[in-house]
Amino acid sequence: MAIATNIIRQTERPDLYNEARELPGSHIICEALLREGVEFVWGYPGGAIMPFYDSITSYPSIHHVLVRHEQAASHAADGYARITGKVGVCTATSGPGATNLVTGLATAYMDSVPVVAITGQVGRPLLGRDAFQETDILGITLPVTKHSILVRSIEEIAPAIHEAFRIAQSGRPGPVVVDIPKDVQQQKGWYDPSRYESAYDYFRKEESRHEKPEGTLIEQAAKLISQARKPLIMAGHGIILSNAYAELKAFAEKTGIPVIATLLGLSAFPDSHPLFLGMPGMHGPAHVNRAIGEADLIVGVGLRFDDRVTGKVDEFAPKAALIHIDIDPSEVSKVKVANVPLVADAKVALAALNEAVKPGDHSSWLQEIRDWQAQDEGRAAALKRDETLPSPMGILHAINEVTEGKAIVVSDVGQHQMWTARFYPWSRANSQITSGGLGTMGFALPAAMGVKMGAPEAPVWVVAGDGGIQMNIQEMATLMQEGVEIKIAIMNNGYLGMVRQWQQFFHSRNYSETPITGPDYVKLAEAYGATGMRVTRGEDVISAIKRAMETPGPVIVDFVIEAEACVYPMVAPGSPITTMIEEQAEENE
Amino acid sequence: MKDTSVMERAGHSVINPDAAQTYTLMTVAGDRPGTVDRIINILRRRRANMQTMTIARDAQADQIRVTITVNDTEVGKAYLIEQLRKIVDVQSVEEISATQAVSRELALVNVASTAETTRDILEVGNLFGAHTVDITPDSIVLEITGSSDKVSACIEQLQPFGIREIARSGQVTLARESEAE
Repeated sequence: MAIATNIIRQTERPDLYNEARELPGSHIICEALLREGVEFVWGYPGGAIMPFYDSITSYPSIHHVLVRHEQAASHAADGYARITGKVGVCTATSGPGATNLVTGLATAYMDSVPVVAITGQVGRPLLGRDAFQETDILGITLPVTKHSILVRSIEEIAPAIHEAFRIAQSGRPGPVVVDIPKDVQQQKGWYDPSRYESAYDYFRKEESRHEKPEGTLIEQAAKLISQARKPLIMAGHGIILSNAYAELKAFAEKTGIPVIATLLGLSAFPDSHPLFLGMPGMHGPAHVNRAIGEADLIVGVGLRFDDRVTGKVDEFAPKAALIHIDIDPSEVSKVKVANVPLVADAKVALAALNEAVKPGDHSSWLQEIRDWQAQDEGRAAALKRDETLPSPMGILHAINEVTEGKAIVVSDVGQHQMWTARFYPWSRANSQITSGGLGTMGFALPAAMGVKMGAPEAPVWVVAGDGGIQMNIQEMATLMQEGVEIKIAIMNNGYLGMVRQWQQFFHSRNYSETPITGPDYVKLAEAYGATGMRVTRGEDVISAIKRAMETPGPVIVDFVIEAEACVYPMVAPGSPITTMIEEQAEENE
Repeated sequence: MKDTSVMERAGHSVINPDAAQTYTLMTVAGDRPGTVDRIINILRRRRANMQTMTIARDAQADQIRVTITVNDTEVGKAYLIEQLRKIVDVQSVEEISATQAVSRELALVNVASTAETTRDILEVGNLFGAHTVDITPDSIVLEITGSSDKVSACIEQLQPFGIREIARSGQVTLARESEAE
């Protein structure tokens, strides 16, 4: 009941030719990809992967997207996987092609995203001899992949690819590298598809589904829940990965427990729900962190208590017992020892809990938190603000309003990412895509390409800073070549804003190497054949977003925002999350 | 809430959470390219305090057995086991308690000898049940097998004669079936 709904998605596989026959290795790669239901491959050709590129033209149902840098291929595959729940596939040649994938693989690894990377390798006679464009990509990617496979013979190609897809999707998802030497791709061999089971078929079988967690643990959890007076639910990425939206909502509503969502858990639970409080941690609103400080029980589902969430661990949730649900046994009790450790898929565990718990009501506790929130918001509203410039909140609300809440927002990394997390009113399930664990600048633009190709019906907005957007801006050319219609909002403050903010708070305003210039984004967009706009007044934000939505093709909107705005509140790294740096009146003078 | 009796530190015993102990972990893994790298990588990345590690073929073909002794807290050791179990090629990781473990180590010790000391060296060797594998006019190579403590004790006794070279295998371990019941 769990994993299948997530993984088996819209597209069915094309009709497959199932007779055994003799094929070159590079054709077998494509055959195996077809059997996994692969629609898109993002990649870049080169010497050691050329046989594969020769074969792929014989498989028109696999759409290859030529990126402009291999890093973008891994991010696009990642974005596609996050939005569809299917495996994202990227390819690169040996050596520099493969090493360029690494940042994207590490991003997917930290955020548990199923990605399969197929890399060409120099031929077997040259392996280990420092051949042209040879790198030990298995060795390089060991710490940032869930698994990696070096294919040693043509017979191993199909099983390696099916195994990669199975490993990428099972349990806690993650990226897998399949490294295939050129001469293995060129070899001819007998390919009998009936001998191999694809992950696509495997996950449709009954035995692949998740086991129910132990009954006694569920009972203990239910008992703790019934005893708690100030409980909180903390929802993480695991809710989205296991497609447990309905179970989470049912659990919160039945027990009456308020819900907090981590950065990657945002959009797992509707922001507008009366039980929803917000995001915890370094840039969470004060009332959320205060609630954690006061809570007597935390039900953590599909999260790993990252240091940006906990702040100083010893003082995180000091009064609370912990029920920790995670599919990865190495995450449960890693940071904070769980009173009830539930190693299980979030969807399965929540369904079991929903049967075991009694209906509850925590409205007085919720009211207490809402009162704190009202005080904080009252203080913030009293501060003077410069309304002449476009404001981050104004831009985000305008995107939501113009797209009627249907947009998928892909944010990059930095201040705008935190503003987006905080201020965008998440209503559509899984509508926030961002690099949470690794914090990869340059992620948003290529990831949004994968998102849009995986969810073509949805409006897709990139929200990026003027630093991060320049890291993978070359993908504008890919968007144009493929006709991928995404809209890009740049929050342009002329700084690497988050680093500047840290310099302001912790390095006596020594703005070392954070002022940054950029191109004229209007001309840049036009140079790529896209549309560009520049918005310098707050009152023009809505009309610019509207115009961007009405204009076909990719559009860059360059919003000039306040140069030294900060993300408030903020917890200094290593401090308890209940000690927050609040916005002061003088900051706005 | 914090003081409820329900499963405080569930899954762990009452051992002081900060006290480090030596644990023996027996890992059986598929012998594929990179398997040993992955195991070593986990030990390095998770900053495990590894004391010995031996790698050898298992009874089954295509499998290797890696015996690791680490000095760590109970929680640290439990976390390390879960991390090792996450490696796709790893089939099992078992912790073997001191009472269950049958552990042996082998050492080859090259001891400097003279006409006067040869007899004494051989006597020390005999005491520890060592085999003499090589003798030249000025050196003796002894092969000692036993628990790591016994091997260390023997080496200590040989020290006064002048040790030229030592090769120790590191500890290998099996679980004693007779006491597992």
